[in-house]
Amino acid sequence: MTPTVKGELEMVKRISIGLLASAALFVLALEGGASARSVSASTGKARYRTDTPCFSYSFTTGVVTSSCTSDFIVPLTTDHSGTKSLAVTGKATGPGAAICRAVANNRFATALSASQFVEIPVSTSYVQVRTGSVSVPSKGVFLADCIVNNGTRLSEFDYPE
Amino acid sequence: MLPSRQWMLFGAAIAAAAAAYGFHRAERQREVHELERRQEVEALRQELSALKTDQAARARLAARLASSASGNGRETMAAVADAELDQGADAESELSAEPAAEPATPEMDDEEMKAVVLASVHSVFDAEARDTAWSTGADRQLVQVVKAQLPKGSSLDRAECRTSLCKVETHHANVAEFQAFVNGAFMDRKQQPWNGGIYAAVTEQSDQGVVAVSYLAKEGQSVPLPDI
Repeated sequence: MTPTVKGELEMVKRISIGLLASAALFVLALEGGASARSVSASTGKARYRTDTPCFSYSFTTGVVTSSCTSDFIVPLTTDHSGTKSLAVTGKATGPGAAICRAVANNRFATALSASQFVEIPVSTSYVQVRTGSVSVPSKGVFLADCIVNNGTRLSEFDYPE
Repeated sequence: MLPSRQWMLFGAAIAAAAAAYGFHRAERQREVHELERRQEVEALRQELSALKTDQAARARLAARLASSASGNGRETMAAVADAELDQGADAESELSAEPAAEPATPEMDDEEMKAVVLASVHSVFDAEARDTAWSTGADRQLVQVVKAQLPKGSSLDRAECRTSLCKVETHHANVAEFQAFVNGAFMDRKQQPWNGGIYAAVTEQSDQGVVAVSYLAKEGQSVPLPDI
């Protein structure tokens, strides 16, 4: 093989790599439209300070396990205001053992929006349930509120950005 | 240059052109989508502004917001366009208290959002008929809970349930009282009348106190919020 042919082959190889990289970026750009956020339960806390010992956190899986009947809240952040619902992933040990709702309010606490509680069905594996919609303002609070029994595991909370 | 290499270069050039075209098209679509969203928000703002003085625009907005709510799976009446927001002092007062809208900003500010949500939920409530099988008992239960949770200095002006929604109008000495009332009556799992979605907002605030309206959905249902 002559040096010229070798050079041409190298050029073709570089162009091919460049094209592949461009294609990958192009796919990512197209996927950019879907905007959802996933928050681990381990970012939450007991609603009442006295219940703090009820919850154990796994920082490897992000799962929070309850050892008593208590209220657990998870603060959520958004990029945009709007009507949003929340998908809760968890594992319940018995009927009615875990119920969750979405709650939002403006910064002056003068426009409260809350969904009804939805129940996480009993299952040996993690299941996802969706709350009703709430009106999330651009400035204010948005959170998940779950009342859970002993043995309930909460994994993550998904919602639109 | 070998023919195979020429073909490879030719293929590479086509692939590059296709990728560039695809990227350009995706960008274009995104721009169009953004433009449409801005136009929609701008139209909504103009209607909100017109709502302050124009009765016809008020009816148009009610119809539009009602159709938006029906897009969320809720039934609304076709006659909503004629519906007067006669009981909607809440929404009106919010609007009159608002500053002028900024046309270039696509995202609603919180006060605008509250006004839009209140107008929308009100239009759904207004279009509902009274379901005697449910609403009579619900009225009674609701009034009982509300009265029990009203702080001193607060009063219940009106409570009414229709097909899927209840509306509660209250007066409070200040915002803190309103918050205490909402927490006790609607957010406390043990005290709330039933497990339904809630939207509660202050509609008027002055030295005389706070006027608030709360919408409570039927057991297991959400408040029909507009798709914004």
